[in-house]
Amino acid sequence: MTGRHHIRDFFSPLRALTFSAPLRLAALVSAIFVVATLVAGAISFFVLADQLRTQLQKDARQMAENLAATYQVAGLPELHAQIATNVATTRGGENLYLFMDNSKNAVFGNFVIDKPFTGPRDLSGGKDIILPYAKGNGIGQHFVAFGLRLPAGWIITARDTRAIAATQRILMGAIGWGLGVAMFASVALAFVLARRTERRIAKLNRLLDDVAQGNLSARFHDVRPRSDDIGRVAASLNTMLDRLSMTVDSLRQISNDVAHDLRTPLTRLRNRLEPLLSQKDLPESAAQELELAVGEVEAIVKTFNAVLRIAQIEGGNARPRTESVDLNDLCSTVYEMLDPVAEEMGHALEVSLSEHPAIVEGDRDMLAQAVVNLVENAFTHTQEPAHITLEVEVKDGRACLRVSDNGPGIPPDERELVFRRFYRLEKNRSKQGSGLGLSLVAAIARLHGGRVELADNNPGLTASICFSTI
Amino acid sequence: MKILIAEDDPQTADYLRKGLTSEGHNVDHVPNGREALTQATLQPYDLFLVDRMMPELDGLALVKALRAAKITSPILFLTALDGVDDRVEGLNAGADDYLVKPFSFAELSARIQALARRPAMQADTTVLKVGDLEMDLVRRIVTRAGQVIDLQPREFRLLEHLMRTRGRVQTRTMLLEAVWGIHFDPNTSVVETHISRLRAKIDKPFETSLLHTVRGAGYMLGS
Repeated sequence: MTGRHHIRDFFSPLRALTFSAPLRLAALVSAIFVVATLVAGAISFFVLADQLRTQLQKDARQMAENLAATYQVAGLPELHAQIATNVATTRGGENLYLFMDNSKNAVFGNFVIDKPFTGPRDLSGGKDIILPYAKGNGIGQHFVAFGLRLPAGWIITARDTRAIAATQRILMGAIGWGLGVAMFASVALAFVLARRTERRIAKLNRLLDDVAQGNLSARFHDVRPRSDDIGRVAASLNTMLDRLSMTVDSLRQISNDVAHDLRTPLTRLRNRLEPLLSQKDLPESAAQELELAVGEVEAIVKTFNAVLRIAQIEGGNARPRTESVDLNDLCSTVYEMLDPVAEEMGHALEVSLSEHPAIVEGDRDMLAQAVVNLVENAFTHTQEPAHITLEVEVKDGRACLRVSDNGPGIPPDERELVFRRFYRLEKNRSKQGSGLGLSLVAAIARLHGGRVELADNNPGLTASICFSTI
Repeated sequence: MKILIAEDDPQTADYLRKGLTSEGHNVDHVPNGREALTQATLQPYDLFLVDRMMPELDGLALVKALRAAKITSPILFLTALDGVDDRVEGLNAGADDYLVKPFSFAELSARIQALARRPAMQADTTVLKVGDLEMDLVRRIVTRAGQVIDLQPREFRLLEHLMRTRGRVQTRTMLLEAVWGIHFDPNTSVVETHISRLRAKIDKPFETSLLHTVRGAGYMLGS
């Protein structure tokens, strides 16, 4: 059951995550990688911005100090000339220069500020300062500035911080493209690897499901025992299955031998009793008792025969005769055979055939026995008056036999157990039957490449077997 | 009837010989296939009982050899396990019927009877009669003492078989094979139920019963 989930989930990544440990691991590792990358990116982003800002502040101070030196050495006219030169050569208004005299009037420079200051400061265009020569008076531009007090006034210089933003953009681009590609590649690789592992695990799972269904001959092929841990697990599983099937085989052999050996003396017992039945001088009461005794012996022999028949089918000694069997035809025969029995027992039996041909390859007698057993099983395990339906359905190239009843059903956790030989539900211990009916049905279904599925009929039980049609 | 038993197990052979002799048959026994073949060419037999597993020449080969030697007497094939393959192989080789061991003597006896009378079956008659019971196979009408009896198809088939084999015991397994074509024994009383339904229609309303139960063996139709 889980095996089938794996196959389906293979195409649904989100649900696959909930089922597959390797995929989950890959997703986790990828997520950690993404977060780490983003954190690293953010840190370098801020560190770089901070570095650049400090550099710009140093530049502004250097510019102011250079101008102050000019003033001290050459005086005000020379300062004026120097500022004019600087303003003329600054590209795109990146650098700002201003000299204010002691009356706090802007004397010369390329911007206007209300109040002079000393030391470092951040300035915004249009708010703290006005750039008369720049587009839009410099609104939205940011600067780091430095003010110096001279005896004749103030020198204020500033540098545009556009460079920081530009560098940040370059950094972001580098992170986005470089790390993004690396991240995508690593996530993709992680998922491919995880999926490969998951595929192998799914294969193991399918094998185990197969074994759980009773196919002890299933083995994990293409194991590379020394390759990795999964290979080793697979190799161990194969060894375990070898031993298990040996044990099961010997147990089965014992039970078959017992059945076989007990059948002979029982047959002799019946052979001795039987001639007495036809004796004419026997009192009626003795004859009745004798008949019951013969009946009991017959029932035991029948049980042994069923055990041996299952063994024969499971052991592969009974090759099914391959003939074309029409399930519609088969079921209508079984229906008309069992309908009076159903009525006699107080049940209502109904048959629903498919309008499509339901031809399968197999042994008619065995298939009939499977259907009869399923219907009889419904007879014995339901309270009368029960409603029992025998149905043939053809769908997607498969023909399904289905027997449904509205009886007590079988609890989900016991559904696999009822296929065991002699297994009987606790509440049915007192009822008739050998406990072999469903085992035989399962064996026959398997021999024909099918499987008995038990499901809830709300209320009751639905047993179905599907075969491929020809 | 003169019957040859080819069976290697002395106990089974002894049981068969005793039972068949007490029914008035003339019985010979050989322990292997080779001797059976020799015996069969020396004198004519009405019926052969052939075990599947025998030393020297096994049952299957013996059946083929008998048929190759143009010996046409009915052959009843005995198989040890309820082997599906054995049954089919035996019938394909030329046996007329088969029995799965362990079988009851009544079953064997009924089948021997059936085989012995097989050629007498009137395949081309269109009306079957047992006492005052009549079946028209063409018009598919059943009457008893002139009174029409309404039968369902499955009841008709069952009655037809019983009428064709009138006077001979039909066991449960023989009826299951002949009427429903199945070679296993259901767990519920399928045959008993169908017989009792049929009985209710053809016997109940009339004074004498035609459908008899043979204790420990099966059913028989006869006046």
